[in-house]
Amino acid sequence: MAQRIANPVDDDPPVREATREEGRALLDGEARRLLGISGDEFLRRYDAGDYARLTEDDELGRAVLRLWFLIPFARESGAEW
Amino acid sequence: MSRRPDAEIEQLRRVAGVLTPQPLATRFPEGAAGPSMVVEFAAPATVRGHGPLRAATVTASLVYRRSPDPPSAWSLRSYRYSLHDRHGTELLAYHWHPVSPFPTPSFPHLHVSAALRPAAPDGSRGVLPLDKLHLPTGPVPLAAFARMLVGEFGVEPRAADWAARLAQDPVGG
Repeated sequence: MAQRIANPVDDDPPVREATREEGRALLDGEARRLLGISGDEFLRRYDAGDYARLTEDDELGRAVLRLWFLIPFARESGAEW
Repeated sequence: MSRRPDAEIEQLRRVAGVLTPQPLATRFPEGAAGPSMVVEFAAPATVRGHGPLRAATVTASLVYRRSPDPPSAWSLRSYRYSLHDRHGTELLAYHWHPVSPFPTPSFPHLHVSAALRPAAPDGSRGVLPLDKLHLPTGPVPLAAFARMLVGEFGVEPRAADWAARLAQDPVGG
């Protein structure tokens, strides 16, 4: 497929190390958008094993997988990280 | 950590810049498996799609792990990339999360939001929902995902040198 570059730009995205507070805000925003719960509530449910039997085959599983990738933004470390 | 992966981050920035100016957020967790780097699009990124992909968005999450041998090498160990239409409906999702807690395949795989309609013995048509199946792939670096969007889906690259930027991804695994 031919490529159109109508307005080429050279403003590559900034890369920034998130602070713990910014990371928690990122997780919180996505948890509210995807599951309608706070980031803290997601972490509580995750730690309690509420998502342990999920697969990522449906909408809920996809959302939890998305949030799982954000856990290290909200915590210093995790067992699987 | 003895060395931040500045060169790898710069390469990621150039690859992501083909698709979006969306900021990338990183963290450097020190887990049981050693030093890691996680990278996220800070929010779903609108790409320059056309026709049915106008206002389409992509999301990306990547996890890199520093190799013990040589200790300066970083390699991609987990990811999820997805393409969504303007309403946020998922169209494609590339996953690799071998250490996640979910009982799902550990190999890299693809979900396609479409269905096959194979003929059944009784003459009817069955339904195989490809969004629920795990179609195996090799490891897919972000550059390959971006190349697919540009080359196959007609997403307009933002950078004139997009082909060179996406020609290789040294940290893509």
